[in-house]
Amino acid sequence: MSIKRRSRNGAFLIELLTAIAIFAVCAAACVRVIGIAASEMKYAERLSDAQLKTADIAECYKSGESISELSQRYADGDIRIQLSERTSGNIQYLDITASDDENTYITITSARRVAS
Amino acid sequence: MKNSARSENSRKSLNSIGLSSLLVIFVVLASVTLSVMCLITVRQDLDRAKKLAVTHEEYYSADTKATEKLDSLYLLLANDSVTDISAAARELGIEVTGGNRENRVLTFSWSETVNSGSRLVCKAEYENENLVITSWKIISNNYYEEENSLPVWNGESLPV
Repeated sequence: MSIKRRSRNGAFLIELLTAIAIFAVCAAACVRVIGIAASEMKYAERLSDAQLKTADIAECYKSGESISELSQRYADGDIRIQLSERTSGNIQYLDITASDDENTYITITSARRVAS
Repeated sequence: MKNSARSENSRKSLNSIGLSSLLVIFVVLASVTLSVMCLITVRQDLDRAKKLAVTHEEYYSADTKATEKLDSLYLLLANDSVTDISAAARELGIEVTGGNRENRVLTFSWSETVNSGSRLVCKAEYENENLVITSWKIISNNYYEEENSLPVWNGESLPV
């Protein structure tokens, strides 16, 4: 009776240890997948944010706002907005770049005509 | 005596072989399914954001070209030595409808390709030495193609 019970407990222990090992491997894989998803989600959010900010700046520039006003607009935030202005003839161009420490998300050029 | 037998039974059911495996299979399946679904959703969001970013860049590139063309139109209209504005505008790639500069309204229209699916169409009217932009919008190149390959049944009986 005692031998039968001991062998039964041993089998249960082996099964439990195997199950824990499998669970640990799968949990590690799941954590890795969720980690990748989290980093990609962060990138997608920042890309969308960068799009909105650059579009806003481009349209405000076209409507006549000065570069100093525009550079103040999104000075605080996760995304760094770099503005550089150049003039060619009657047209002023504003190169807008949205980036952070790791990535450059978007670069667009807005143009406006200035009366000669 | 009875109590000890009951506790023995409950311990047996708890220690039964296969229960922990079933639990692990259930938990692993659930967590793997959830994490894969999470990754798929995020990838879709990221793809959409990237496509939007590319469209955004293409739009502003076309917008800059259209602004340059508008500037060349302003310069053309400011140049009094140009008599045939229509011909001069056509040379710049701008379509013109209307008469001469003196007595009629001139309508200028030009377009810039944004991408394979859309273009930026601009229109401006010139009247009384004043150029006014009347339209600056994106138009899709895609059009609805009517399905007319099969004749419409008009109620006649089918041939047997």
